[in-house]
Amino acid sequence: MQRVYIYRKYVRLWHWVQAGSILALIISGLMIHFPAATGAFSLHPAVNAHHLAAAVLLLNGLLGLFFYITTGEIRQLSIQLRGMLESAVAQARYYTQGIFKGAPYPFEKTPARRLNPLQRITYIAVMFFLLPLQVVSGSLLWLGGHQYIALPPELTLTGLSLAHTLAAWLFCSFLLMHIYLTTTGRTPLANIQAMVTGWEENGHAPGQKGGHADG
Amino acid sequence: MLKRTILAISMLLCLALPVHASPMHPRISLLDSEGNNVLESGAAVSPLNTCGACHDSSFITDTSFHAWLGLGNYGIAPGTPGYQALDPVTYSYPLAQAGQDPGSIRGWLRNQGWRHPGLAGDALYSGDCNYEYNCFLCHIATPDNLTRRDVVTNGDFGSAAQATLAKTGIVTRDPAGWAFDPRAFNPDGTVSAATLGITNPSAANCGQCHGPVHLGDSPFTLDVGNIPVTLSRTGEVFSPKRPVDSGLNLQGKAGLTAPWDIHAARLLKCSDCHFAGNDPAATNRADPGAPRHLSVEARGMSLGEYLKAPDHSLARGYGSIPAPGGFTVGNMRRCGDCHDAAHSHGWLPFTELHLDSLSCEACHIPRLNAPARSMTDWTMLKAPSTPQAEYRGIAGPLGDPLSLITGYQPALVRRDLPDGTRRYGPANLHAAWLWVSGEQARPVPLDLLNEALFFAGKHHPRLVNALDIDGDHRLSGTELQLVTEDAVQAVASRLTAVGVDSPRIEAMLRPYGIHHGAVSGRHAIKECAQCHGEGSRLATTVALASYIPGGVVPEQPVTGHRLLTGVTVTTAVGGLAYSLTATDPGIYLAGFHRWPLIDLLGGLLFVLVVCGVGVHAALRIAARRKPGGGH
Repeated sequence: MQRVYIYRKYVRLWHWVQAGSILALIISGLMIHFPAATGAFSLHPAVNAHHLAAAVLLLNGLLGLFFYITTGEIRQLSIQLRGMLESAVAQARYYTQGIFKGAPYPFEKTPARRLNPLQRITYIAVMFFLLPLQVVSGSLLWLGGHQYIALPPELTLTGLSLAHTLAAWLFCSFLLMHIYLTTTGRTPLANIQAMVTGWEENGHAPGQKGGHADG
Repeated sequence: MLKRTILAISMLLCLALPVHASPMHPRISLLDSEGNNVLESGAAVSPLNTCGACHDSSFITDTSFHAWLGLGNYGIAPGTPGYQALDPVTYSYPLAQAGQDPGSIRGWLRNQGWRHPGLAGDALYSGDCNYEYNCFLCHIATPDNLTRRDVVTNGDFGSAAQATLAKTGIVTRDPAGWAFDPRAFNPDGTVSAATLGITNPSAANCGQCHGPVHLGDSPFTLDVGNIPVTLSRTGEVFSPKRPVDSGLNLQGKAGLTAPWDIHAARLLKCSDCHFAGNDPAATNRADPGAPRHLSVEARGMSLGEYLKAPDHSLARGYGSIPAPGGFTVGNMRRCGDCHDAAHSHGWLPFTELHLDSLSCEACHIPRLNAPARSMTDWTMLKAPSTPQAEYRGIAGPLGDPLSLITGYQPALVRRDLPDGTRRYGPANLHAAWLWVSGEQARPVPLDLLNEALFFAGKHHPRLVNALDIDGDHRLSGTELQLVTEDAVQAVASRLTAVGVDSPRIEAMLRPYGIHHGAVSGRHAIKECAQCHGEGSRLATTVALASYIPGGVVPEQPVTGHRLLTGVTVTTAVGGLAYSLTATDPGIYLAGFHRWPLIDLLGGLLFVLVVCGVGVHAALRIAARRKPGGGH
């Protein structure tokens, strides 16, 4: 059993702030979208909480982007096209078959390469498509709603809300999958603990090539 | 010290003055139509000659739309059916539609004239009616409007002004007619302003016709025999008092502690917002074309000039019913002219959007604590000139003091104004049915309707024969509802018999805007779910009528600025309702506007993920339990 320092302090802080704000956004968003289902709560604080959480998410996202670019951590998301398909298939095969048979984890996890191929693809989709769609539609809803900007006629609040709602559902599904896959580590809570302490026990489980950092 | 002394003296002077009468107004010579003192001539008083001795009565009547009600172009677009100019609550329609023959005009004045202060100019002498514009009605403290109404409905138009003075002690009425009491006059033949009670128009003056205005010490009650027109239209009450202190059988009365109208409680009167067109105290804002650094136009007319020729085109909003053309609309003092809503509503999410999308009344008139008409059926009258009517906001008959007044929450209706603003505001939806005639679909005059339906004060025998179901030789209850073809034909035949050209039933739907009865912020609506929830007020269904006369379903209103974005629906019991839909593309109501397909697909995806995760986790656990399996 080898202890590896996988997550730097800022990465952990960034992750948990992001997690907290997304959770707050989902809960307050559900309260806004389904006010009758959360009748005990008023819409007013839900809206304020939603805006506050969005502001935290946005600020944290920008700071994170700055950090990832200036420290080179952005390379965690880099994809080498050559062999990408094979890697992704191998990872998928592990999740669908190997994990049930105690097969070795297909990739070794190191501080410089924490993400498995499927994670990279998923995170790229989330960070460069889903999150921008959510942030841009939400920001335009906020800016247009407050009349800080004049929205073009074809970009109505109603249309923006459609995009925002669609992205929110996708986010919910992603979040559930993300949380579940954190349990596929050496123990069900190992990956969560790693994201708290930064340290992960790596590479010594029977039949495993390396530690897990799924999610 | 000097300031305090001046203040104390001023207050004492104010207390010493009569409450109503203007202390500065000089003595008045009451003149007849020939310009002679009425004490000498004994003729009826002429308000225009009397007041015109000092004030420019021609200017006043020319500028007063009150003097022109019923006349001229009513702002109805060409080709619009004539009945659309009708106010279906009062059956008031433009005098111009009554035709130009004297008989029609006299009939119109008997039925509708009391609602108007009188006529002026050439119209005054149309049909030899001599129904003169009545300054006393609005400018004395104790006008006797009931007596005036009585003489007008009896066709004695020339005595209307005299009757208005019945409570002043100046004039008395005996079987021989009206007479002036010399004891009320000064030795020089004049009367003092105090005796006449000359005053600025108070809310009570306006309330005589527009009502209900309740300013007295007694508890507010409803005179079911004389329901004020505004109450019928909307349930609005202008009073500084509180519903909890009223004499009404109100639901939840103990909790109704907000004044009927916060502006009345703050001592505002109607003319504070509906001011005279050239009132220097109210109209000193710079014109829109003035230099930008000027917000006030200091070069107003002097008080003397104003009193000589006060512009009587009183500032007003955009009415729910057609108004005579040629007069300025939308120039009244609005909420934003006195209140800085943006400043005081900072707590409200998306403040500007809310203020731009909703009228102030939408939240500040949360409920009407009085009944209001939901339908009026003029196709078959209960008694002469008395339609069948249904009310919302009351459980039981209107005339029964035991009926519980539940009040009602008004619908929120879109209002597109000429200044480009579009806001949702409260309105009472009202449906009406009436008989129309001729190619232009004009309302059948009330006199003709009465003549067709009644004989010697009772329903016409032919109608009784045709419509009496229970065999009691009189018509009552559902027998008065024209819901079968035979019933419609029976009445149509009677109308034809009295000379109505091709009578037919038309229906109209009219949202009456609600602007009075406002409450302070403490009592205003703050529950977002009223609009943002599934049962949003912008998409509610409003019951209109328990039956549909002639089976005629009203179309969308074609007059006014309120736009109903919904559909009429017939109820399971044969009634009519209106289903509002918030389909305006410019409006987005979080919590109400959903995307069923998006929610379905998104929810489905989420459930699939949950299932996938569940199955995967179960398989992992099962694999782990196998000997040698798992990690």
